[in-house]
Amino acid sequence: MPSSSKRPTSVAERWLQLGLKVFITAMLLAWLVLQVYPIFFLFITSLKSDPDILSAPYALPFPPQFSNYTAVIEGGRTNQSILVYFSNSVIITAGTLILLIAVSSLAGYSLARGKFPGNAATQQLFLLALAVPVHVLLIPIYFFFGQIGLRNNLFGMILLYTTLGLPFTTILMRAYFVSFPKELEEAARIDGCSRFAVFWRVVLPISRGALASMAIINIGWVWSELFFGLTLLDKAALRTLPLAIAAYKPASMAQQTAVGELFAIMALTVLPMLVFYFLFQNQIRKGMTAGAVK
Amino acid sequence: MSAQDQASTRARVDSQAAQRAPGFRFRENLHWYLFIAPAVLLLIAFMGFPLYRSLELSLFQWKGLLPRKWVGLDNFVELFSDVYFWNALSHTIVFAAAATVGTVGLGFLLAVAISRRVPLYRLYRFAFYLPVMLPMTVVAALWARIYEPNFGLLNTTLNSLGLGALAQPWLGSLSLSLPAIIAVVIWQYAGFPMIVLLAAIEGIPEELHQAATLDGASELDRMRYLIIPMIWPVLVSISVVQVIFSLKVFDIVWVMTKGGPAESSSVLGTYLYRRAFEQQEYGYASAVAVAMFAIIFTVTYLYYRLSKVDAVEF
Amino acid sequence: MNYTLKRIAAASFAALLVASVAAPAIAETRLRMTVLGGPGAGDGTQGAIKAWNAANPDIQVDLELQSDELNWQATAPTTMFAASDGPDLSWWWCSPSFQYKDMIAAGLLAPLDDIYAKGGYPDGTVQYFTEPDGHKYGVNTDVVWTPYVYYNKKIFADLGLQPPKTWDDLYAIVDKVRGAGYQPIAALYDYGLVNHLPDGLMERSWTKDEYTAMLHNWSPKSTDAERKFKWTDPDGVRIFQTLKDMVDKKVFADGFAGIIDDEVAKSLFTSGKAAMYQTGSWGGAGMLDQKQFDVGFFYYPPINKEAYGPVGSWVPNCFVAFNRPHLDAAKKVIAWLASKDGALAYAKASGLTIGRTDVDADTLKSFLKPAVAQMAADVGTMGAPPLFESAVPPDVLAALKLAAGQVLTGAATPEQAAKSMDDAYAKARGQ
Repeated sequence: MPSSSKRPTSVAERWLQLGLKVFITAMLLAWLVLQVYPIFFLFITSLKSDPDILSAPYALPFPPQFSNYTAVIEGGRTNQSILVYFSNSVIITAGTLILLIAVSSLAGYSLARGKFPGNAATQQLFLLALAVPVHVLLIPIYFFFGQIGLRNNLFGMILLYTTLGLPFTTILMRAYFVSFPKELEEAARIDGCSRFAVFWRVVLPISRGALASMAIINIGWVWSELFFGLTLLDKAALRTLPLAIAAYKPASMAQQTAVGELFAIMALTVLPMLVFYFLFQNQIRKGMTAGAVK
Repeated sequence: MSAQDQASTRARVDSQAAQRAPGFRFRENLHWYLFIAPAVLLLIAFMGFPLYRSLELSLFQWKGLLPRKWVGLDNFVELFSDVYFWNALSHTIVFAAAATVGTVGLGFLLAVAISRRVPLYRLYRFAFYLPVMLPMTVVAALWARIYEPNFGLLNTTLNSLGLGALAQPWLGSLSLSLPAIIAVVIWQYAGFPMIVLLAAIEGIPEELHQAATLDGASELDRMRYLIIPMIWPVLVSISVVQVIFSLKVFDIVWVMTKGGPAESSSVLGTYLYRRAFEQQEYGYASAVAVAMFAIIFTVTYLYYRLSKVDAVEF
Repeated sequence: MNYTLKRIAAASFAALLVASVAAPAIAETRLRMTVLGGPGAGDGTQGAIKAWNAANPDIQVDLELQSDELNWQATAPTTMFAASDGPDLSWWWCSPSFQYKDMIAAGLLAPLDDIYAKGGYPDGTVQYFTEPDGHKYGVNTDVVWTPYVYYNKKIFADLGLQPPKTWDDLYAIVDKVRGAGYQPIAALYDYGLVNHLPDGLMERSWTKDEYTAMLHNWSPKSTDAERKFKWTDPDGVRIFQTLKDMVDKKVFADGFAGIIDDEVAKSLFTSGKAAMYQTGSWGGAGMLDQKQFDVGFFYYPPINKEAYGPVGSWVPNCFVAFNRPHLDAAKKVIAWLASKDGALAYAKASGLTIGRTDVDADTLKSFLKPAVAQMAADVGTMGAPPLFESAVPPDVLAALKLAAGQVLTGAATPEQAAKSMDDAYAKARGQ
C-alpha cells in the first residue's frame, strides 16, 4: 500500500487524468464494437441473397430476405428438416448440463468439505484428466461405445459429454464450495441433517448463481460439439445442429456458392445461446462468489 | 445459539466421533465416497479406459481396418526425430503462452475497468462474454471472411483508412498465420478470465478500496498494490486453466488454416489429427497423444510447484 | 384389479402377435445408403435413387447425406462401414488413399463382377477397378478431369486477352490482369495441392513412361525397371520448379496459401475480383451459372512434347456394396445404377460426365453444359491418364502435399522438395 499520499493538485495532472479516462473509454468502446460487430455481421449476412453477399458484404439488408432460412428449415441440403437436428441438440445439451452439474457439484462438495483419505489423490485425478488430449480418444471410445450399445444413442452422448466436462467443472465447484461459509451447514448438522440433506437443502439452493455459471461455462461447447458427434452419431435422425452446419459447408466438389444458407444455419445455431445467456446473465453475475451469503 | 454454544457443541460432536472404533472411519466417510463416486466412475469408464486403450495403441502400428502390428517403442523413436512434431510443439508453446497472456491480461484490464464502474459498464459486462458462447465453426467462418485478403473486412478497412501498406495475406502467410489465429483466440476468449477475475475483484472488501482512495492512490497504484495481491490465487488459477486449454487447442486452428500453409500454424492437436485421420496412422498418432499428455501434465505440475499454490482457488 | 390387469396384458400380447405377423405384408426391404452430400455426387445419387425408389416399391433405399467436415471419408471405413449396423451400400472413392484396398483386404466389400459382365465400361476403367485377385469391388459412377482454368470472358475481352498457348503467354496475361486491378488465378490451396495443379504439371513434365512408372514405383512390388525413374531427375524437379516460377510471377491470387475453403476461391471468381479460377471439370458442370459474365476455360500450356496431355482423370468415384444380410438387394440397386438408365439419371441430376461407352455424345449434350461436353470431347481425342492421387497410398500423398506446400511458400527449394519425395518413396517401399 502506498505510504506517501499523492493528491492531484496541478492542472497538468488533472488533464492527464482526464486524458487517461478518455483513452480508456475509447479503448473500451473500440473493443465493444470489435466484439459485437462480427455477430451482427453474421445475422445481416444471413438475411441477404448470395449475389448481394458477394458484391456488397457490409451493406445492411434492405429488404431482409428470409429465403436462406426457409431453405435451411426445409432441409434440402441435408435430407432432413432442421427441427430434427435442433431437438437432438436440445435433448443432448439439456441432459448433459443437468447430469454434469449434478455429478460435479456433488463431487466438488465432497472434495471441498470431506476430510477423507484419498481426497488429495482424487483432486490430482481431476487435474490429470484435464490434461488429456481428447481427440485421441475418438477411436477407442467409438469401439467401446459400440460394444456396450451406446453408439447412435443420445444418452450415450450425454454420458460422454458429461465426462468430458467433469474435470473442469468439478474443480470449479470445489473452489466455490471451499469459500462457502460453513456456519449454515454446521447449523443444519447440529439440527441432525444427514450430509446429503445438508447439501441438498442448505447448500444447493443458495448456490444457484454458481450452478448457473457452470451451465453457462459449459453450454457453449456442448451445444456446438462436432468431433465426437460426427463419428458416434451416424444415423441421420440422431444428429445434432453442428453436424447440420457441416453439411452446409460445401465439399470441395461443390458447384454453387451457398454462403447465405451457411450463415442462416449458423445464425440459427447461435440464437439459442444468445437467448440462454440473456436470460441467465443475472444469475451468473451473482455467480461464482459465495458473497451472496453475507 | 451463541457462538460459544456452537463451538462447544461442535467440539462435543467431534470428540464423540473420534472415540469411535477405527473401522468407523470409512463408514463415517462413506457419504463423501458416495458423493464423488459418480464423477470418478464416469471418468474412469469414459476417459480412463479409452485413454488406456490409446496408450496401448501407441505401441502398435494400425491403419484402422486390418489387424494391428506390434512395433514396441518404434513410434516414439520416430517421434523423437520427427521434424514436424517438434515444429508443432514449438508452435503450441508459443500459442499457449501468447493466448494465455493475451486473454488473462486483457481480461484482467477489462475486469478492473468494469469493477471501477466506468460509464456503460453493464453493457460491457454483458457484451464481452458473448463471443465466448459462440460455436467454433461460426467463429472460424466469420474470421476467415474477415481475414480474407481481397475482400475481407480487415484489409478493406485498412485500405480505406489509408493504411493499405499494412494489408497482408493474413492466413496465407508463413509468418502471420499463427499470430492471426492467436488474435482470434484472444478476441473470443478474453471474456472468460474477465468474468472470473471480475467476481474475484468484486470480492475485495469495500473498506480496502476506501482506504486506498483516502490515501490518494492512483488507479495504477490501486491495481498494483491492492487488486493484484488480493486476487493473486485466482489469477494463477485462471492462467493455469488457460494454459492447459491452449496446449490442447485443435478446433480453431484446424478450421482456420488446417495447420497450414506449409505447417506454419500447425499445433500438436492438428498434427495428431492429421496423422490419425488423414494418413490413417492411429498408432503413431497415439504416440503423439502420449507425448502431448506428458507435456501438458508436466507443465501444469511445474506451474503449481513454482507458484506455490496448493489448490485451485477461484 | 389383478384380473383386469391380466386381461389387458393378454389382449396387448395378442395384439402384438397379430401385428408382428401382419406387418410384412409388402415384404419390403429397406437399404441404408450413404453418400457425400452437396452438388455433384450428392445431387447425382439423390436423383438416381429417387428414380429407383419410385420404380421399385419392394426395395426402398434410405439415402443419408454425409458432410465432408472433419473428414467423413477418413473415418467412415473404420467406424461406419466396419460396424455391424453400417450401411448396405455407399458411394465412395475406390482409391488407396481412401482405404479402399484396406476394406477389400478386411473383407468388407462384396465383389461386383457380375455387374461388369454386362459391359458398358471402357477398358481403362475396367482395368482400374480390377484388383490383383481378379475381382472388381466397385462400380464407376462418373469421370472427372482436372486441372482446368476457367476465365471471366468479360475481363479478358475488356483487356484484349486470349487464352494462353505458352507459359510466357500465361505470365503476360497475369501481368495485364494485375495491372488492371484484378487477381489472376484463385484456387483451393488444399495443403499445397492447389486443386491438383501438381498433377497437371506431372502430366506435362514427365514423359508417358515416367508418369506411369512414378505412379507405381512407390510400391514394394514395383519392378527395377520402374524404379529407375526418380523425382530428382530433371523432369521431376521441373514440376516443382514450375510451381516456384508460378509463385514468383504472382500467378496466384494474393493470400492463396490461406484458401483452405473452395467456397472462398469460388467467391473470388464469381464476384469478379479474380479473373481466373482453377478447378476440375466438376466446376464447369453448372456452378458458374451466374448472370454477370460468360465463362470459358483453357488448359495450362504444355511443357514436354513427350508428355501425356493437359488433364488427368479421376475414375475412382464409385458405388460399393458391403457384405451384409441385404447384399443381394444392394447389388440389384447397384446393377441398376451401373446400367445406362441409372447412369443417365445420375448424370442428369449431377451434371457430371458418365464414364460409359454406350452413351453417345448427342444424348450427353442434351443435359450437359456445353463446357463439360467440350471437355469430354477433348478428352476423347487427347486421352487423360489416371491422377496421382488415385494410385498412391495416403502417406505418399501426404508427402506430396508437404513438398508442394513448401515450394509454394518458399520454405524449400524445388530440389529439396524432389528429394523429400524420393525419401518418401523409399520409405513406402520399406527400404
